[in-house]
Amino acid sequence: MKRNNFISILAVLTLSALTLTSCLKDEKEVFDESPSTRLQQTLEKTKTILESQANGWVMYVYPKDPSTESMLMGYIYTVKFQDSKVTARSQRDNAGQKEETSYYKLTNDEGPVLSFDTGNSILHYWSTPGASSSQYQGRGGDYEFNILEATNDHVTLIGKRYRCIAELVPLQKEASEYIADCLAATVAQDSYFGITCGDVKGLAEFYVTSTYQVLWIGYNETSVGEDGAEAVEEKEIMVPFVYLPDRIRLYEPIELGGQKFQELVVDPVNMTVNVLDGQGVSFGHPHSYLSADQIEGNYTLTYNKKSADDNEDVRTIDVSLERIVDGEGNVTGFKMNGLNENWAPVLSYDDWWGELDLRIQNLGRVTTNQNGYVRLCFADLSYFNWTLTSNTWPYSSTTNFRYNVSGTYYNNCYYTCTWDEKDAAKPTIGINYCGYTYSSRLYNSWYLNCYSTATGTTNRYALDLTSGWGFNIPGTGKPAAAGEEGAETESSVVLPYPYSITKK
Amino acid sequence: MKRFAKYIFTAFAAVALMSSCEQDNPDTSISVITLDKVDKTPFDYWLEANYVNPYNIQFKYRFELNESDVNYFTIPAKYDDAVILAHLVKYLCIDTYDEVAGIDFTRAYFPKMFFLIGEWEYRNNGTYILGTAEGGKKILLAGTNYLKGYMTSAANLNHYYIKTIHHEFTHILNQTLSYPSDFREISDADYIADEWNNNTSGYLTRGFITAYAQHSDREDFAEMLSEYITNSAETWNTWITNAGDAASIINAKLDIVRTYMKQAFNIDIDKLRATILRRQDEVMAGRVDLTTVEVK
Repeated sequence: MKRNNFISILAVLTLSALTLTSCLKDEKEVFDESPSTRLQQTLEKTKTILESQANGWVMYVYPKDPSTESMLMGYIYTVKFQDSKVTARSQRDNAGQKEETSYYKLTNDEGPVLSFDTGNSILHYWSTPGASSSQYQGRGGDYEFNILEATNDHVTLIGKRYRCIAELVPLQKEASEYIADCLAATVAQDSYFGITCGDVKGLAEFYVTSTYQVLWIGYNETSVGEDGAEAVEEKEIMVPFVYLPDRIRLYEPIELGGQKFQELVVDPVNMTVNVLDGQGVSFGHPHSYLSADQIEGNYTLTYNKKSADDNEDVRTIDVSLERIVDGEGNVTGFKMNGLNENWAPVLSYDDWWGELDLRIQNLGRVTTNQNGYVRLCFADLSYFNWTLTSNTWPYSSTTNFRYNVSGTYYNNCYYTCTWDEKDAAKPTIGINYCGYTYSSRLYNSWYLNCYSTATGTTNRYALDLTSGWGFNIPGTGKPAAAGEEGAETESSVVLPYPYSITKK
Repeated sequence: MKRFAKYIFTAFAAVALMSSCEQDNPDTSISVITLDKVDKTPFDYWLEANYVNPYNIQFKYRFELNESDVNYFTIPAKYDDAVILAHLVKYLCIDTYDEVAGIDFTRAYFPKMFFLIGEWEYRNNGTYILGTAEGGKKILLAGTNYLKGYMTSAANLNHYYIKTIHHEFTHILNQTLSYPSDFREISDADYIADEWNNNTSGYLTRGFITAYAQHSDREDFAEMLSEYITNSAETWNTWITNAGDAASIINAKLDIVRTYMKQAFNIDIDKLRATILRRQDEVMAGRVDLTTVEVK
């Protein structure tokens, strides 16, 4: 009997538990439509928005290194959506002049998704893999994106594989024109984003470098510990960006000295970079920056033509640095005139850093023999431990250069060359430049090879031009900020060696 | 009796409680599942007429994450190349089996889904995958965007795309009707699984028609058939000659393949080969329109 009571109680409990749970009356629909209907509506709405822009959209993407997953750079596409097709251009493919059309689809395999799902070499550039072990993962770009937000003037996506935000902003002009504007701006702005220091309110100074559309900012942050002692911590921010016609846009807002900002714009008059959406932040050129205007001019090259018995014999030559301008008006380098009427070495100019740079170069050709080049060479004998062997080449009477080619092979240094000049009134001079290939800066010294037509022998003399990058220009050695303490004001700079090039 | 009444009461009570619930009648006129509304391309209509309607075969040329293998990095196939590849698969494979074995055979056994990707599936050691088959149903064709570059010769076309299909199709046939175990016994001691990749020379003299055939008896069978039907008699005979003493091994295996195809599916592999080679030649001679998406 007891047992049966127990069973019946159990039966009642079980039944009531079942009936109670079947009847949750406060279950309300939060949305009027089912999730799948809303998803479908989102896709349809997004399609209408995407296809509504007559000129299409500019799309900012940020490919990641597939191995390290750090962002590589910012990159611009233009995408025009029409009749289920997308026409794309990029900052890379023939400078935006090439376009390619493929299909796209809006689908819902992982929430609302925009997928560039038929082949398009422009849109799939960053995703294309290759057989090599460094390439089998592609280049870290996405072609399928989750749609985070879509409005008529802004679409935000996130890459499905690499989870980087991609933004779409309507184009106000033809895609090809827009990319041309961006590329022009890239050239114009590059020099300003090569800046190496700036100021933020509350921070003394920070350092900025920019390569391949990644901004690197390093600075020291001072904090006061519990014991009152100041601790300095080195901080760095790396953020990729895209070049827009009038500004750069960072991948995401960054915070510096209490200021938050995402867009920067160049002020070419004051040579500064200003922050659009933050106050009190400015970027400027480093103290050592030299503009092309500051560099161009007449110089005196002083060198020491040591005699065979090592006696000092300081001489000077008048030289001038003459700017070389490319088709777009950019200063790419300077010709050093005056050393020799037959040749003038070219110093390339890096307008990111405001620095001059002398590299291996052919100065001229004295025979049609493949080795008949008069070559400005890199060879620091002390550093690279060269062995010199003599190997005299045919003498060319027409140019009256005498030269020989010697030296053992090292990196890009194939030859040391010596030659002399017919005009005896000028010092016979050959220049070997020493340095090493991995640094583009001046390494240590120039060598002057002086050939004596009387004895037929060549003497090598060190001509040291090191001081920073070798050239001191009085009064402008530290041009960054007028009146700033420590700026160079002397009319000439004494080098630790008795050799210098001095601006007149 | 009293006890019985108690049970009855409990049952009624329960029913009463249950029926007190409001009925939530779903609106069956609205489906909660919505399908993608992707607009059809001209190629889609062609596929409908040439693949879906006659054979119930899906030819997926647009990228779908769920069809792809996320262990590899790849890109979508180009539309124009996909069109050509669809024509090639149709003309060189589907139509071939229609001609040799009848349309019912093709409908019954030919893979029901193709999925195309633009690049190969690269591994990190420099090797890459040309295609795969899954469960006798789906064939992945990789490297679609390189198709035009390999259209220069039938050998290339076969190596990179078409032979793969015959090979995978053979697996499907084997899964439908298994081949006699005599086949396995012929080279049983020489199968080396994944080590085949490190033994890519001298396979003929070990009695295998390709290096990959050394993998296992299943792959050996598929390689035997797919190589036989996509190569000319001259090429085949050269291999047999080069096999030397091992020629008898290959020939013994070929006999089983031949008998199996005849008995199980009533297919004469020589007729199959002749048909494939004839069709290949027609493609190579440019007599087949590979680009039209017009639905006749």
